Amino acid sequence: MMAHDAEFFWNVIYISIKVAILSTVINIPPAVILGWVVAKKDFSGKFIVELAISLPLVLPPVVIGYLLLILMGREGPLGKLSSSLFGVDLVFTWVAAAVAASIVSFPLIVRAIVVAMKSVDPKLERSARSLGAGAARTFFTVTLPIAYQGVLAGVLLGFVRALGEFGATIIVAGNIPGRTQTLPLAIFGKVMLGKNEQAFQLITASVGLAIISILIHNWLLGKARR
Amino acid sequence: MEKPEDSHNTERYEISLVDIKLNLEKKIGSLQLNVNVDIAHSNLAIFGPTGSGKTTFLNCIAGFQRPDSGHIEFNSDIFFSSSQSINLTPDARRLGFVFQDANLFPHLNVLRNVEYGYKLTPTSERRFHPDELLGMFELEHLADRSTINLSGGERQRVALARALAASPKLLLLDEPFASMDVISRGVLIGQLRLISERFEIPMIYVTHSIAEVAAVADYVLVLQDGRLVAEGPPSMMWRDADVGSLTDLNFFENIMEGTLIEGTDDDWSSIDLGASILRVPTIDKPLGTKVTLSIKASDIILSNKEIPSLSEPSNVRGRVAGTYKHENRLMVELDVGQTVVSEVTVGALKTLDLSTGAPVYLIVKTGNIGILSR
Repeated sequence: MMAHDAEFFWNVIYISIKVAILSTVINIPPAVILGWVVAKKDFSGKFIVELAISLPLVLPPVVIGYLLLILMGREGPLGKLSSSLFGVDLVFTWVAAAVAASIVSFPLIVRAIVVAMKSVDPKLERSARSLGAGAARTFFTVTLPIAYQGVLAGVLLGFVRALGEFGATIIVAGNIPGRTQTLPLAIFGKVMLGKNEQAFQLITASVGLAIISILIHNWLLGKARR
Repeated sequence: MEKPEDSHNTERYEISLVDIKLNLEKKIGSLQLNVNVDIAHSNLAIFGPTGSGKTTFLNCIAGFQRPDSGHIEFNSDIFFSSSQSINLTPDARRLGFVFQDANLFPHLNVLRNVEYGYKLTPTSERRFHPDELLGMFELEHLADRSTINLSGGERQRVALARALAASPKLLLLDEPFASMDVISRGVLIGQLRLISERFEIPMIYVTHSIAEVAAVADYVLVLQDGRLVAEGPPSMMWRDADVGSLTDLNFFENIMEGTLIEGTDDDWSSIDLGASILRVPTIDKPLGTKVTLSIKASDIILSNKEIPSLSEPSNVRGRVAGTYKHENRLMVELDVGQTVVSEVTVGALKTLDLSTGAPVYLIVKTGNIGILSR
């Protein structure tokens, strides 16, 4: 690997991880809250919430990307908000890539959290309530500590999905080397240009990251089941 | 302090009464729960067959389930009132709840479980220290242990200690004795009596076993298909044939209390039951030890005369307090210083004098006496 190539390679890895981390961080609070609501609460119209959560999973990512482009563009509500607050355009930035990745990975995180929280016996929560704990305290001292390994596994699954996100990202963030070019986008670029050797390095990195993540994920789930 | 008017178990102790006003309606699936009571008692048992709505009833009191309409009031604290739009959250009700399967927090050790509610109780309202409760329930040696590998009896004792640590105004127990072996059950019954006597914490507990009703409660509500079909002192369980028909009286078990006293013979220990003495194989405990005994009603043979030479050591002297017919069986209520029930065949009415006040001797095979010292 030549010096220039190495710099390019590590830059792609850096952007990928930066995008995946931000997208995961954005997702954690709403995913935990929605996961808890879906797992523990009954209300009319719950199926609509569940449908909305699962929608990004079944929509083509390109469609999500296009809808986000409308929202985050200069005339879109998110775009206007960003330019009035920070004076910058969102579209074609790494933040837009993170937003795209977060939308696409959100259903995976929520679904895993729902499973983890459903496995917490409601009688444990009732015990906590009758011992004087309010709803929030019960959540933080009983539900979450018992479910946390499953929650963490879900978060990690979302992180991996964010690392691999392509379709929505390329529409809202473009494929700008050194700025928004994540691993999958870089692989796509190299393959298009016929630079197979560089593509292969990136693919190796991608596979490596995926394997490490899945190993951690399975280890966490194994601990959660015990 | 007032004394409850119904007399079965209550003469053993006096405790403050809890004024219970309950009027609740709730529909769950095919069950329509509809109960209306206004009573003053300290230890209330809710008895009923599976599916009678007794657990739903308890959950409504605890605040885990919301009645469709009605009113729930304890000692002038209104927990729920549909007309006044009051519905206190479970944590605001300050009730201890003990589940059938203990439901200990799996991520906390025994001590942390017991401390959970203690830490949430305002300092001025704390009545028991967790260390004191661990001692009382013989759990000190388990304090640092995980709750996962405890035995059923240990789990239930931790659950009880945990509930008490929050200094509840009322203790709710959902089938606390189910899935327990006989020894653990006797220990737990003893401890519940202790809680009631010494700490004056009123209890409401749900059960489908009449032995437990008779052992702990001073008043019973009988539920069937969501409706209150009978209420009264525990004695109605064997006195009232309709109530008796809801349960299997074959399994009626007397749970008695006695004190170990000096005997006349090295082969036997003597237990003072109040007005008579029961002799059992030697118990290696100091004199004065309190013992809890369990004897099935069907294991007690009655005779009008003392039978001197028997393989069994005991002819316990008593008097007939009443006889109650349940089809072809006869429940004989006896006074030996405390109430004991014997189940005999109806034919015994012809062969024995079972008129009220008649002296009788109770003969029990010692192998059929469960003895639990504490």
